[in-house]
Amino acid sequence: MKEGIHPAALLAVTAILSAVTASFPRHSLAPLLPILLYHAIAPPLLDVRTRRVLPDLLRLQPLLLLFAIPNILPPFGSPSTSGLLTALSLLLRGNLIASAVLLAVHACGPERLLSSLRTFGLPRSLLLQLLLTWRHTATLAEEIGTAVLAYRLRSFQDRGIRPSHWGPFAGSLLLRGFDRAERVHRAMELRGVGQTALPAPVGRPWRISDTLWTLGWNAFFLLARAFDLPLLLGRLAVLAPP
Amino acid sequence: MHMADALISPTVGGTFWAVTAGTTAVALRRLGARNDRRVLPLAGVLGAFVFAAQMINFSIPGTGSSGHLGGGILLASLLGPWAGFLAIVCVLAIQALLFADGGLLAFGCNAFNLGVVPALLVWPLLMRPFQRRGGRLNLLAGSLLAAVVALQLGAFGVVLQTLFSGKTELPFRTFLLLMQPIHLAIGFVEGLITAAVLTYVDAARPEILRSVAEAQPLPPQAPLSKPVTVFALLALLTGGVLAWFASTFPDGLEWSIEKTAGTAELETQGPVHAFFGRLQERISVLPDYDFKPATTEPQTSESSWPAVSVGTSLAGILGAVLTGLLVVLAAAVARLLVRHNNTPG
Repeated sequence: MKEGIHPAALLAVTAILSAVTASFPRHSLAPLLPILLYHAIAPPLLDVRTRRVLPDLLRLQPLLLLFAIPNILPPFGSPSTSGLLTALSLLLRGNLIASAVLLAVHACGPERLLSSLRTFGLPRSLLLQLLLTWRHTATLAEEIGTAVLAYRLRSFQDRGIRPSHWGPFAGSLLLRGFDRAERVHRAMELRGVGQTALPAPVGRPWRISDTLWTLGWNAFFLLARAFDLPLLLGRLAVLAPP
Repeated sequence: MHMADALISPTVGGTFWAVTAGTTAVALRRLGARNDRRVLPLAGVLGAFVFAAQMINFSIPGTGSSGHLGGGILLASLLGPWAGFLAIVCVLAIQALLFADGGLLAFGCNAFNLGVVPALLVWPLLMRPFQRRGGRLNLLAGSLLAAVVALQLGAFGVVLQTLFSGKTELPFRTFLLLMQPIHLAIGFVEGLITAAVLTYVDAARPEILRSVAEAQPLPPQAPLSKPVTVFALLALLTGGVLAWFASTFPDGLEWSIEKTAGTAELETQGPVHAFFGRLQERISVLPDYDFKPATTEPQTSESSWPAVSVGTSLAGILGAVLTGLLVVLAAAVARLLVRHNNTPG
């Protein structure tokens, strides 16, 4: 797939995957496995290397582990098999959903993914604010770098910012950010980018392959939710021994 | 206090999506009526600021939630409640869409707990009067009070939403004991940081805080038919489609009734209850959210968990192994196909 899948199609599939995966009962493990097919097939088709997604997924593991473990070892109770199953299911579900989101981000990039929300009827003004917020994170990072450097040069000591200066530091950072954002916004308005024009288009029109991708995967997820596919597969194997 | 998708049922997630969509539509309309061009860049910068602040977060064991600064009170103080709410929505959307932090399904819950509660409920009631008076002490008192109350309410929202979803083993009391005290501490720290930033902004650019606090109520708005329609459609979608995927476990209320009364169905007594019971039985098309069973059809007993059956267990294990093999095979085939297509010539 040279031009990849439309970001809106990716987003729609990711959203349905999240809803379907989250809807499984809390002890489900094997019935969740068919969802892994998406994670197996989609990365090569979307030209995303697994090793690019893995570091981001690993970063989320402590969060997932910390909310799964107390189900096995509850703080005010005794451990149970039911808790173990819940914890394993939570881990599997959390990883399935998170990796699908990260896959979508790596496949089409943050700005195209955010811009694709327009396809779902997101108001232009909200979309513009979303994009501005994302872009201002880079601006803010620059401002923080400049402010920290200025503080260090004036403090004559390399011990970081004193706690008593945290408030004024953050406050001045905000005001500098305000001024810079206003300048940037005025410049954008002068170039015709206002609340009615979007700065970042999605890139390409919707194609039949996007429709097939969306319908195909979503139908598969719904099928996986409606029927216990591993159990059906297992029954077939038991009924028809070699 | 971002909630993860894994702990939310589609019914709870869909309901809060509908609430967030409706509130966002109202906020956009209100801001559109104000036509303040400065709000957009300011909201962008403040959103980025809160986004950076929320990067410093830690997991709260067992709750499926993370602890970090909310930022809702700070945003509402500097931008006003509606723009502050929209800025929080943007921050949460970026975190969910680009960093898998919070989840798409849980987005509505997160926007409610971190956006609606602090910006639209707590700020107007608790922070605004202090901000109107101005001065260091008022800002400190208001920020502390508002941040602590907003985070306590938000954390309580997390507890209720997770319990109603029925995806965790933790009982209500344990969950509450895990969530509330830790957010009391976070709320206190957030209050201090909010006060420090606001005090500086008040000293350097007093007009920002004053204009927000003194903002007159807007004139009557354009008709809200569109947001209400969107809200109704989303509610229909939630009830009609997402409910298919509702958890088979009892919901939070049923669960709590079962724990306290020993049964999920409370018995009713007296002629009035009996009359309405018979009436309901006669007119209800979808008792218990399903079509009426045929009268001749034998009633099957409710299956208990875990349903121990050797055949089922064997089939389950075999099926899981086969599915795993299929996944590996599918990945290999997909890679081969892509490699074949990319080979020049």
